Amino acid sequence: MLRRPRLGKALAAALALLAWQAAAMALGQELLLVAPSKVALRLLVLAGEAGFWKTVLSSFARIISGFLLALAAGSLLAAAAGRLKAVETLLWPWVITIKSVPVASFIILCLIWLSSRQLPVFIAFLMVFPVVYSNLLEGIKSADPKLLEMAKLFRVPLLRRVKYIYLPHLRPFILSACGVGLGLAWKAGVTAEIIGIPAGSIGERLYEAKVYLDTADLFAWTVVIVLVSVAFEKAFVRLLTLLMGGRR
Amino acid sequence: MDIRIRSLYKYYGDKRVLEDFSATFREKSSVCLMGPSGCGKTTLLGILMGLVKYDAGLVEGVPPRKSAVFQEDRLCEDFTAAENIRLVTGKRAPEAVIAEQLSLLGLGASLSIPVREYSGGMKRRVAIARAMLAGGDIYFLDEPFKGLDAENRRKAAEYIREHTVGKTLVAVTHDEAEAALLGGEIIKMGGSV
Repeated sequence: MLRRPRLGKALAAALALLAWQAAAMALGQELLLVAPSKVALRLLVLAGEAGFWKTVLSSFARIISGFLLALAAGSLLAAAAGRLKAVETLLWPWVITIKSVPVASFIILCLIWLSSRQLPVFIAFLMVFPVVYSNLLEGIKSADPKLLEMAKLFRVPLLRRVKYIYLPHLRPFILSACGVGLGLAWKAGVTAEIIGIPAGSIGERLYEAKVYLDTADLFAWTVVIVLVSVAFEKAFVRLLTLLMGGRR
Repeated sequence: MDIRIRSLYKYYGDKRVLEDFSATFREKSSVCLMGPSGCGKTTLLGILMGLVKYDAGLVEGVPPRKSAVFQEDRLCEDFTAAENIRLVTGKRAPEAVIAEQLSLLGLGASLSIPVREYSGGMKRRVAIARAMLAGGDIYFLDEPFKGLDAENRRKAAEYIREHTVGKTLVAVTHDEAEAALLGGEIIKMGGSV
């Protein structure tokens, strides 16, 4: 039963690759659409270059720093807002603004205040923070009031309430926020790198690919982003599930 | 100190649940509140527990250290019976004591599984053990034997009596036989207004 959906997904991916290959061959213009086989070859060449892993690691560190900062700040402020309505009200204009302002506007504005190395960290933070905050606040608000009443009657200390009542209830909200947040962090973080062009970043390599019309490089670096993003999301979600008692 | 309730009123919207209810529960005694559904027994218990606000009247003398078996089990379903008890007792109740007490209620063979996998009757017994091990100066029991068969009902009643000696106990039940199992004074509450 477990293998069937995986097999289905693998077949779908293989079909998509075939369609891509066929389209590239039919078009016959690498500048417009490079074939997946050529992208794979270019990726192999890139992976062997001296600066490749350093570039991947520096972008990874910046984007994941922003994500983790947002996770911490979003969790703490959601906990505070869940306890005090005044905090929720005070945060409301900030959250609604961050949610609705286009990411490009933030990047251009923040480029004036921050260095090009700090920019992806802050932009990733900005995109992930409202997702974590809103998800967790919704989770906190929907915690079972009868269990909370029970805890109140028995005078259960806050830490134990968090461990036994809030965390099991919040598990799906946290996992969902992390899944969505990581995707957003990579998209927004790389966009910030393309505009800010910090030296030795994936964004810089994508910018160069655009300037030199190097479509194979553009596709190869995009594949790198997808692979690193998906691999980290899977590892992080698995780690969180373990830490929060996923067995249960 | 006795618990004194004077001219208590409670409304849920337009519905009057308690009307001019007065009673005195003597300290360290057992009281069983009986009456038909909707007559305000659970609401009265909620008021005494400090979880429900009343609209008018006076309630005094309720000890601050309370323990309860709620109408619903109110257990953390992802955790084992022992973990549910440790939630309220902390380190006060050693693991061996918790296991021994659960065994007394016939739960010794199910200690390692989350209560989500328990039957209704087993969950009820965990709720009873939790209330008794949490301790307190007053115990509130809302239909404590709900879902228990005759044998487990008898065992649970004996267990409750042993743990509440010298404490105030306020219970709610529909059933005279259950009230008799717990002993103490019976107060009959009227129909819904």
